[in-house]
Amino acid sequence: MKRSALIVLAVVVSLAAGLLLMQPQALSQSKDPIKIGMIADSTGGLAAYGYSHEKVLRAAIKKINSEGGISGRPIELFVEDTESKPPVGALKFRKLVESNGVSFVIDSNSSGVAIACAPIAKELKTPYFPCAGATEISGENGNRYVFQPCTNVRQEAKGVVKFAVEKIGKKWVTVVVNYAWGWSNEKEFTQFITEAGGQVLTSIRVPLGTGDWLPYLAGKIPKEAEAVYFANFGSDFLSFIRDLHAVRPDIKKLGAVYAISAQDVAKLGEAAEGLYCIAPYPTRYEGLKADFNKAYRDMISVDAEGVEVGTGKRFVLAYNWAVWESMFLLKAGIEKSGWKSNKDTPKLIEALEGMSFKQGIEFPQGEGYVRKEDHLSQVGLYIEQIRRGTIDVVARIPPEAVVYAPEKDHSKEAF
Amino acid sequence: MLESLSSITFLLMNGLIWGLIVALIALGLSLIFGVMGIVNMAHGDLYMIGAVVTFYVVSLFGNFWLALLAAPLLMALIAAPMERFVLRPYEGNPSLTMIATVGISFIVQTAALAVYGGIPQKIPNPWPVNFNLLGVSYPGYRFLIALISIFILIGIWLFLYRTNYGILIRASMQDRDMANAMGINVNRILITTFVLGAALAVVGGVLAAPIYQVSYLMGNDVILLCFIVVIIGGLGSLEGTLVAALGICALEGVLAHFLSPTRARAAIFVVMVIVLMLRPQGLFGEKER
Repeated sequence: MKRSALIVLAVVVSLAAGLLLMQPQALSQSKDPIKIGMIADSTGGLAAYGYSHEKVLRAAIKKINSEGGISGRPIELFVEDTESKPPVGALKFRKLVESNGVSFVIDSNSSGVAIACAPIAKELKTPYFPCAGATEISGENGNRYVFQPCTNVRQEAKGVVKFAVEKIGKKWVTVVVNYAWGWSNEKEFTQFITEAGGQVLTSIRVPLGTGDWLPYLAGKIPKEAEAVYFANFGSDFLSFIRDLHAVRPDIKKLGAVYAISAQDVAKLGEAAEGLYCIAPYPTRYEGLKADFNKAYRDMISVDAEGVEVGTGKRFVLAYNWAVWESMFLLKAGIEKSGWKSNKDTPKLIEALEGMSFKQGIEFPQGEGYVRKEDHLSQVGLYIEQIRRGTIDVVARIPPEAVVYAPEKDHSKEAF
Repeated sequence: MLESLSSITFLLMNGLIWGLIVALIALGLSLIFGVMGIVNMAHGDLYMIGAVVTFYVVSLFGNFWLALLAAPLLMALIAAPMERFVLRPYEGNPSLTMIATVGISFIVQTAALAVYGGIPQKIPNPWPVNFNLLGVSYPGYRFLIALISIFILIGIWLFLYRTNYGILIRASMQDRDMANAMGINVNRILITTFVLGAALAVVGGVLAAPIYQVSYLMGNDVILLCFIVVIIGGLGSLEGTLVAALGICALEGVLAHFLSPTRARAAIFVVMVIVLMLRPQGLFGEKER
């Protein structure tokens, strides 16, 4: 009798203990982290961009996690290096989804990587937010799982031509690096500047990584040309402006997005003075004075001049705002659709299609919306100019000025 | 007609000046291969080190010419242990040295990315004087580079052909075993040659830094061109390397007038294929080595 009571007691106690032990697990079921993958260009030609993109995404996730996560669930980030190469990026995309079990993938600044990953996103039914500028990412190479949260080349060219014709000149020469991004710039700028009443006299293409631009420029720029539209960055840009200055010191210059990012323009001297550049996000705090911009720059530890706090190096302030905004777009989508697991992904995509956002700490670049048809974010632009060795914002292009008719309607595709 | 003639002359001059820098770098590559049987895949990255050191020297001391001294000295400190402890076991076995030097290349590039960063930097022009070369304002610094390169090339030639040590190096190049049997300390020759070859790449990097900007990947382009030059010139042939460097760069310059510069670059590969079809040993190479 005593013995059986003891047994009953033991069973009750162990059941209770079991329940107690199980409790936290059962509770944490709803607190399972949301796994997000990032393919960053940590090494290779775009290493500087990959570094800044990763830092910005980590800052965004830190902010979200410290405020309680998304729907009470923390975010867990998995990062892989694309080596700035499309085949490597595609492989890493697959690895993140299949081995790490991520539900979403963000980034690569390389349009080549983004285009290589787009069909894999569809195959693995994983929403993908590349932060790269090729028009094709939301156009012919896009699909229902791919979102382009940054501006693309066509938006940039369309947005800038009015300013270009009115404030810079009518007779243009284009000089671009000889690969997809350069070709898009040449094609789109030529088309839109012609529609705006301008004219492109010559188009020059130069291989990526060219140190000596003189052979490409000397004797190749017609005398009547008033201005050059150029698409290059990094070392190409440095050599280009120096050699252009030697050939035609008087010619006006307008750079495609990115050209002057991370450059210490004070060191560029006379050759870069007066140069205009398309900027999706102002380099200096001065260009967008607002509390949320101050807070954003603090969180990614970049000072008012665009220098990284701690390292003293110039920070690439270019499409990394799109990495930040991708994360908050995703957060808004998850909250709106009630996404819990991958089976809810179609609901999430439907929630994102057409979603609009207001300027603030989550969307510091400006107001806009995700266009339903091609998943391209519709946001405005800035035009910056190098004046007396510093970068000033000289014009703001509103979102409606960059709009073009969507090439594709991904929202009609089945999931 | 006159305009195109002046354009051709300009491109020819520009090509020759670049050819002199390439000659310096490729000569180092050729010397290292000729004496030691090392195919140095990291040679372009040594060139990059030269440029990166220049960047730091200029930012710290504000003096470009100091880099011309500091960079080769620093390189000697890196190259000597690299030869002794990494490459020595594989010398004379080119395919193994390729793998070892590719490893070195990865390490050097990633170290540069970690320290120097991924953003290409500009080095101020050390001699901001422009000359009017056939209607184009041509940077005087490039003429200066050409002169310095010529001096260094003459110095190397005198060293190899007019000094006892140079004779020893060339003897080891012709027949290492025989040189050893004659009582030459071949191990010392090996270290000296490797350091000399590496120093030539580094000097090329210092001289090229103000023209070509400084980036951690800058070696990748140069190494390809240098291999083309060394192959066309004939593996291990120093005079072949010199002639091929000047010839190829001048040819590319002139072709850029008739074709687009991009196609001119591609045409160089066609030249290489033709040379290899007609003379598989290269222009100055010996048939059997």
